[in-house]
Amino acid sequence: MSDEKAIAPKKFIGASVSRVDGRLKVTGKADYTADYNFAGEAWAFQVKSTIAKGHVRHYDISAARKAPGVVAVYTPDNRPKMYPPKRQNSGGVIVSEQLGPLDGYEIHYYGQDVAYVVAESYEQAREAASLVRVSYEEEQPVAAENASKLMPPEDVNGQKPHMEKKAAGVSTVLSAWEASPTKVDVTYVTPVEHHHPMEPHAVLAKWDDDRLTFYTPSQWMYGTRNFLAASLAIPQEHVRVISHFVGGGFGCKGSSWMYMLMVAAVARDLKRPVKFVMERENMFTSAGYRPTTTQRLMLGAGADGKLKAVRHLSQTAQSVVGNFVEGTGHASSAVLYASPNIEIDHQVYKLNANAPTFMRAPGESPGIYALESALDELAVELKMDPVKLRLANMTKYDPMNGLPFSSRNLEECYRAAGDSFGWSKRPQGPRATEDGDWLVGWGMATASYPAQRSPCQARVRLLSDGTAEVDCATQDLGTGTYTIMTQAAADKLGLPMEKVKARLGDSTEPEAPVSGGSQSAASVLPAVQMACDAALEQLADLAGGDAQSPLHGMKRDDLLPVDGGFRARNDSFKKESFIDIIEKSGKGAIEAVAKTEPSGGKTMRQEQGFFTHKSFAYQSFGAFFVEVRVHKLTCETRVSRLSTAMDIGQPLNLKTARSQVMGGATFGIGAALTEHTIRDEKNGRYITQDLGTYHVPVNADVPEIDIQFVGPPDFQFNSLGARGVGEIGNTGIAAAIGNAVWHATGARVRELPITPEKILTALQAGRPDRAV
Amino acid sequence: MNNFTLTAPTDLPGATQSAARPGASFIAGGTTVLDFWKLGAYPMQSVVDLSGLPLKGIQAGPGNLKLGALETMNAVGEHPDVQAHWPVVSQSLLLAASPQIRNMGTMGGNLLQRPRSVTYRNPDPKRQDGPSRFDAIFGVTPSSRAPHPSDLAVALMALDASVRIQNAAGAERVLKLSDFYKLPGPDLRFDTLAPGDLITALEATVPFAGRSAYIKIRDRASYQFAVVSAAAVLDLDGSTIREARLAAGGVGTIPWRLPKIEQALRGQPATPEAFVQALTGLGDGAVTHPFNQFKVALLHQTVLRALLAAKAIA
Repeated sequence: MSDEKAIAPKKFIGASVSRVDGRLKVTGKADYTADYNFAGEAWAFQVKSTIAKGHVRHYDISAARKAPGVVAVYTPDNRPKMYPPKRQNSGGVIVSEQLGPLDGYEIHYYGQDVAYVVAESYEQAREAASLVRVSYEEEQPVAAENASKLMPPEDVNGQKPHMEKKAAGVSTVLSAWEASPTKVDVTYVTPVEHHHPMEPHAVLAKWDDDRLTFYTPSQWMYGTRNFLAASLAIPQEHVRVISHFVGGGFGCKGSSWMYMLMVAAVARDLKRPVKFVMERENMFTSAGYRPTTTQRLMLGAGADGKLKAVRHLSQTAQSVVGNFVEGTGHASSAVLYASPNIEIDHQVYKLNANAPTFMRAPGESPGIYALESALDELAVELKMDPVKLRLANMTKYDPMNGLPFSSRNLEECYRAAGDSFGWSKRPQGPRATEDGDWLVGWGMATASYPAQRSPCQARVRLLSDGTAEVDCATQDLGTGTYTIMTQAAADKLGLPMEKVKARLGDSTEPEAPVSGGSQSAASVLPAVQMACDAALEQLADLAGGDAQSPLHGMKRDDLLPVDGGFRARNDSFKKESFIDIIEKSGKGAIEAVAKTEPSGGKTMRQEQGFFTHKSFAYQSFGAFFVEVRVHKLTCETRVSRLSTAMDIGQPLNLKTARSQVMGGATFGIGAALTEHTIRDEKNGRYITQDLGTYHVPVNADVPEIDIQFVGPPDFQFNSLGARGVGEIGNTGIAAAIGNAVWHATGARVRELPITPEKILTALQAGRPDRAV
Repeated sequence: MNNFTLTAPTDLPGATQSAARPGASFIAGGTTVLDFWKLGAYPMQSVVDLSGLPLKGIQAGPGNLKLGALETMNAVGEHPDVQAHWPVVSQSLLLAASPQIRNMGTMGGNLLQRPRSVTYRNPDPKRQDGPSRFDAIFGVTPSSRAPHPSDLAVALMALDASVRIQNAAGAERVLKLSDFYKLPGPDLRFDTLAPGDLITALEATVPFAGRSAYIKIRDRASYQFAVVSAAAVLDLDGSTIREARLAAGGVGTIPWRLPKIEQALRGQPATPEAFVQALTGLGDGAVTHPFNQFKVALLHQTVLRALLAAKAIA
């Protein structure tokens, strides 16, 4: 049916389509976890350790037990039996923090769960939780970023911690760097960042005999199901996870967390539904974050700008109770530019802190920030335009493994976004433009994110009323999955979108992978298309085999699905509606289930279990061009213009794809300028405990974002030619902003976020009058 | 449960007498009190709702300012007379918080709002502010290094404003803001109010307040407490400074007036060079650590910017 594309043009895929669930959301009818209530439900509340290392000496739960409405108080003394996994990745489960709930008296980090209180109402549970008295034997925690021993991690998302390639005759990458005519050697630091989706983590656990229904906002229906089944020692089919709507995830709802297990176990123990909604403050300590990174970039180049050596040496923080690795160099310098000599090294150190986890563009976001900032510094050394420097180092092949990129149009990204921005008018030197009291600067950087997909299943049912249902246990994090599933099925089936109902967020539906690694759209939609094809095949067989049908004797290839039925390809007067075909069949509905196995089926890159065809490297690229204004005296930075072009293959829905890039860029503005979780280096406690001190960007921080999509569909990658767009928008942007700050002020700030005092301090270094 | 009783008096004696009882607290906009109460950091047995009291009114002529204690931040900040004759007050209010909070927060409550710091937010006294960039550099005591959060108070401090107070016995007194605030002790209180004392109005008399400005520095463009802020009021005689009034925010455990700088500016030409000259010694007495030592330099720039903004007013 390859000619069908030419004959029946795509109607919905690629168009700008409003969200099918938009009305539900703006009218408050979207059913989020915390909206559910069951008769007889009780509420659970966490009690957290106030020390970062040591052990519990004594619990006094007498006051809490006596408090009004209290049903139970759980401590390690009476916690229900549980069998949580001991590794981050095991059999369809991701667990970033492996410390079981209330597993003993030892304290490993500040904010560790030490008790759970269950009461009749949320308020009573919260009140009683404040009455639990815990006394500790406190020890000195390892809390300062440089206090712990460095060591290589077991692996960095499936790759070796140390990777290098060398040209013939080169003894070490270091020696190649030393021999380079122009060099930079710079170190960048990125802080702890928290996801803070608008919707907090929540659970409603309900048991019916030995079966568990588990409402929770999750980025992975099956992963959460598998985690609960294994940890509660029940069959996987006995767990149903429901997540119709997720109010943002950004990675923190991708891993399964121990609070989920605890609430499920408590509900089983108490034989009643138990509800839990996490406090904003506890989201700092219960559901992961992006760890601190320190990255040393050593770039060497010739006068023509061609890179002769790249060394990217990273140190990132880990938790004593987790082994997530923020793979900075592996996700940036190993992928972006041609160089004969590349060395990537990664070391980790353990802290008494809760476990970090995936956060939007894990690895890429801080890694590309460091690389793209260092390239800007190299461009300054070379007296070369930053775009020209990058153009001197383009590659058609993955620099480390030599595989050709399936589709790579980065030069076009620079051109399109640069033209739109007006980059050619940029003065080369810093501090060249003033507007009143504001210094104006321009900066750019490359964005990039791998394209990934996993096996996925979907089911399509064509009903006797002419409507269709598309089911897949995928997730919609607010990204638009409902909408693009509807678009894809409507196109395939020849139905208007209103006749297609997409259902997701329920583990009883066919299996889909984790919504991580920007892979959901690329994984789910091919499965939806396959299921639609299979259903059409059945319908064609029915019509073709029906002597009464105008389409009698015809095969699927002879038929076009249009206007709710089939039409003969060579005779537009011969047609039959799906309603008629189904009615005559006596079946009531036509159902088809399909499973995609990405071609080749061999693992090329393993990250959270993704896999793609191994004869190509699949990677999306983009470019950010940014104008900032920095106040001459007080050094606040405001982003005033932002142009970007993204090469993501076929955008599935221009509206939601644009929103993804817009959200990513906003995320990046936060990372660049405001977001920073501060931990006390002495006692390991978080100093930022709320959204009043953890500063995400507000509307006033975000200018209009000019977005273009460039490049052809990538049919090597999947049947839609579409690579994911969830995370690329959060890469490169922080570097572009930092580079623009340098261009505006002459100050190079190498530690995020770029707050006013860091610019002022850099400007005044040795020249206290400089910023006057 | 942490229950409380609620009374809603309609006259001042009713309000002050109810509030004089142990464990009683006033509530006006509630934008601080309810937050802290929910955190367990503001215990109250009885709550006296002020919304029925006749404590409104905005008088903002040239030279004289009187603000009813129950006027909201937005009502005052957006008032044309306040904007025309008391720009430092208007700016400090409109740069604060969010529109929603400004619609609820009141003049009296604003002066009393508590820092959103670990020390203040947590009932557990062991949970103290760790050293961070947020910390105050002036007025730091063994009990607190949390900077006072109010923008309005900084503007009023520069204006040498007064707080009109009625007590439970029906007596009225007027306190200069500098006497209204005190450095926080072990109970973390930074005001000198007695139980039952009710702020009824804020007042200022400054003939040259039309030449004034409030500058607030923060990481993001809105909805953040000041990293550093400055209020400047200038009285010019031609191009010579007859008098200058300066106060700073984000740097003190209470709003911090800068009398030495004011003194140094007096009689000087209103030029950037003279401003910078006068700012020598701005950081004297600052208590800093590596995470907040930048505040001296940033305060210097912020005060300078406030002086330039005030001077620029025609």
